[in-house]
Amino acid sequence: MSDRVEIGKIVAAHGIKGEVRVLPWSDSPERFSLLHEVFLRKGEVVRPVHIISARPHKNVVVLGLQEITGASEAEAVKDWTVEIEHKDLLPLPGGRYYIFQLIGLKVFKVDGTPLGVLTDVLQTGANDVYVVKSPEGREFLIPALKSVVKKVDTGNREMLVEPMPGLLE
Amino acid sequence: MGRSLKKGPYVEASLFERIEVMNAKNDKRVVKTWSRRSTIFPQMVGHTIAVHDGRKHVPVYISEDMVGHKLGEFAPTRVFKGHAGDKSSGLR
Repeated sequence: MSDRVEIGKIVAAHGIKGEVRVLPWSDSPERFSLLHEVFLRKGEVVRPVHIISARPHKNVVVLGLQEITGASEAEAVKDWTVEIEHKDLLPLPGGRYYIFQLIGLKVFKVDGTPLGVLTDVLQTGANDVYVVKSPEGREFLIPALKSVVKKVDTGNREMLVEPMPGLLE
Repeated sequence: MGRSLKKGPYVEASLFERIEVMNAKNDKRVVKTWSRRSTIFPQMVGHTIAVHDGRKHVPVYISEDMVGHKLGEFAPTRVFKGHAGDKSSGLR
């Protein structure tokens, strides 16, 4: 896992005072106003910057950055991603996990039989669904239900599931 | 034009029958269906129905607030592969 998490992408400059428009990749775009330092990345180039203002605007967030003071500087960071350190992630209520923490978990049945590796999370509008790929290439869809997912151990990168009858057929 | 009230909401007869049989036996196995157009009935609450999305069967747990909607609403046929960012997922 990377030490930083992407939370958005700069899509344009905003105005003439060096503000930038960020398309948020976050459940809560208002989280930008709680941040002080973020990292802008393009390829291998990483640039730490400090947030002085953040406000929602239509489907983007307008950020004022201490290090970017003019429109041309703001235009130069277009298409850069915005990253934060893990310590700046918002704490989640019990039973919730960040998707990047779940991807790559090894999934086992409660009896110890390996099922595969969690490769994707589908958000369907009802329950979330975990896509688990077996080494043979089979794909299992596991509903994210308390009655099915018995244990999520992000430290040991493991998940224990108790599939209901008919789920893995 | 909406469906005639006289007919009641539509549900695939074979699916509804399987649910009724499982309710009688208090069985909670996953039911596979291709019938995305079936309406969710109160009898389905608490069951997990694997709804076909065109490629695979997506397991959908039926809760009370889903009654009256169609099964297909909960198994999207087009999946947007966006960035995970700091989005989260929880157990229901």
